[in-house]
Amino acid sequence: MIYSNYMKKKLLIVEDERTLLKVLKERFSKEGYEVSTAGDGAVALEMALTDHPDLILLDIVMPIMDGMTVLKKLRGNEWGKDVPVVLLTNLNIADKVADALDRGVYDYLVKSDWSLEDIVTKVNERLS
Amino acid sequence: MKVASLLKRFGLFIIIMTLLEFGVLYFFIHNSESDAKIINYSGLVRGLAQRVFKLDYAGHYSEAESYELQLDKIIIGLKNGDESLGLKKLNNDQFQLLMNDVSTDWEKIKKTIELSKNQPDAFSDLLRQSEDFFILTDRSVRAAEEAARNKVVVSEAVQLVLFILEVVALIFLMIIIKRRVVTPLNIISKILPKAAGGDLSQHLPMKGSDEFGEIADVFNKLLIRQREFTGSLEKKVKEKTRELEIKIIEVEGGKEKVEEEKKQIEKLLSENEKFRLAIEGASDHIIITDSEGFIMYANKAAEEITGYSTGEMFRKKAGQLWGGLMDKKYYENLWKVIKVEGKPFKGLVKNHRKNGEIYDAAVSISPILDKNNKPIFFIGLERDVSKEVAVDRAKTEFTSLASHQLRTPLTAIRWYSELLLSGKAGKINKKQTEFIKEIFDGNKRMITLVNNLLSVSRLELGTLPIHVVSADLCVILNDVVKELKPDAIGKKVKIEYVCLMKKLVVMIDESLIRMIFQNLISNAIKYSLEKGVVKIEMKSNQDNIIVSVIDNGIGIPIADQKNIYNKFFRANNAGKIQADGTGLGLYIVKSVVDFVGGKISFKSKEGYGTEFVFEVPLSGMKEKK
Repeated sequence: MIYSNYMKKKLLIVEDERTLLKVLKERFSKEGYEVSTAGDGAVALEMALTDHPDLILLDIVMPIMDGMTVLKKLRGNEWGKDVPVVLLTNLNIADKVADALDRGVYDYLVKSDWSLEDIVTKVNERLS
Repeated sequence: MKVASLLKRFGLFIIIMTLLEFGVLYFFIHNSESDAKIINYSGLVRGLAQRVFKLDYAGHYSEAESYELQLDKIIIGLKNGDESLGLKKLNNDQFQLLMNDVSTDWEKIKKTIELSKNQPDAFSDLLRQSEDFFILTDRSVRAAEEAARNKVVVSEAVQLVLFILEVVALIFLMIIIKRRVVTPLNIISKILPKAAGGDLSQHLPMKGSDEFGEIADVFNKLLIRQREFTGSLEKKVKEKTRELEIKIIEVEGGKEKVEEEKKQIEKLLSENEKFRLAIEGASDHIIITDSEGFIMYANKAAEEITGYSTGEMFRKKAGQLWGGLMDKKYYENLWKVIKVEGKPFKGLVKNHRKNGEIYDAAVSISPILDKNNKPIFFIGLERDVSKEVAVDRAKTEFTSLASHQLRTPLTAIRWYSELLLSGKAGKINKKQTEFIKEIFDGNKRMITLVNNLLSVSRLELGTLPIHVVSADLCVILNDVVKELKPDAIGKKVKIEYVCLMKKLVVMIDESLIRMIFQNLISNAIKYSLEKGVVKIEMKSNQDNIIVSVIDNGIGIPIADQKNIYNKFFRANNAGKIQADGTGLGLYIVKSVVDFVGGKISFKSKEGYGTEFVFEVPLSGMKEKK
């Protein structure tokens, strides 16, 4: 128990906007997570399958490979199918939401509507 | 009595008569020879007796004996008949008597002769006897003659009688033949030609059970039947003639009608021509198919839009030509609606032109039904809406792009301000905190504005999606209130809410309900005074959820009430209490409520407060992509 608590939880943050990526990384590191970042879907997928993070914060609109595709591929993977994913996006098109929920995301958060604090709470909630 | 049998009987009669005649003739003729011989022999007896006397007198006894013997034979023969002499017994009483006497006397004479042989004086007796004898024999001859004569007379009489009978019979026969055969035949020969010639009123008068009666009977019956037949035939002919006459009248009348109809048809044709030209020249693609979907007509626009010529389209289905790009269910549903349900189908479809180019079309297919409500034709209209669809797509893309692109920097400002304000990026002083807070608040307003603009644009496009899920309204309300709590606390406004159901789980679109709650409650808070109270009540009836949001704030002036739902409208008193406010909130709320099929109303008094009540149907939220 203590050992697992001591071990930092690994977080993969996938976001193509550098400015947002920076502040997220800053906040979650402060929170005590081991944060790795990816700026596009392809890199993100590779990193996820290699590092096996405990949770992935995933943006949707990204170059090279978008978030939904990453999610789809992830869910097709033996390890990937169970990893908790929180979609962090500024798109709130309902069919995308439905689709995402179908693919088993933990939550779908519209960035501009969520305070950083609440996002942190959400992640903590999931990983506790 | 049948004529035939009558004639037969006559015939029989004649035959019998004739036979009788023959019989009589035969009988008498047959005996006449004998009778003549009797006469002869009767005469011969005298002659022979004389000879005997002479011979005996002359003393020629032996010669005389032979004659005696002959005479014996003859006398016996005369009396009783003698075949060798050709004599038959003559059954005449007188003759028989005479012959008896003759015979007796001869016997006496013979005795005397014997005596005379010895006594010559016996000759005088003999002479005397012989004279008596001769008288007898003469008398016998005469008797024989008379008998013979009698026979002749009798037979002649009989023959005469027979002859008369026959004549009478023949006369009768002639009468009968005339009456029973000739006359009927005459009648028949007179009447039959007349009847055969057509006069069916003819009638054979012969009655009776003989042949002519039967013929007459049959003939008359035949004529009756013929009359009946002809009568009924005539009746039928009369009827038919009458019918024909009626028909002729109708036809005559009909001719006028036909002329009129011709005029109408010509009129129709010219109008039809107008219609045809109208359809042909329409700018929308119009096709007409049979009940199985095979194309029978296509207008020019159809050719231009699809790229196929009418010749290529004829007798093919749209699916084989420009259709087939949508998924199977789309076409199955289409066919079901128009063919099985007999209803029009409207929708958007993707087609491909002959050259492969894909285009969007608004399609409308109407079945034309016969009197049993079965489709006999389909009329298909299509409008190439690629441009509109493209514009729509562009608008949607723009909206999503805008939302995404605008939101990103807004998010950045928000989170960085947050981070700074939290102190986790380093300690900041009071002034810095204050200023960063200003940045944070300003940013928050912009986020709200962007969200509102996005909603408005979606509402106007009609692309606001409805994703119906089972959700607990109390939970959503809770969330929204929590979200707005900071604003309320800032103004010392108390929020009270009551869920009149323990759990209000309904099928709704969460984000839309959330939008309504957010806007109404945030307005209620915004336009409340310090220490104001915002009350939210929620209940449901059979069909709807009813939510009331009540505040005791500044209220809406009556003059502004009618415009309160208008886009960008802010009441006069609103700006005084709250500088910011886009005037979009109520526009959005009203649009969303309308969109989901609900109702909204309000009561307000300036200076006292406002109550908004909205209803959303429990069942009415239909899924929409």
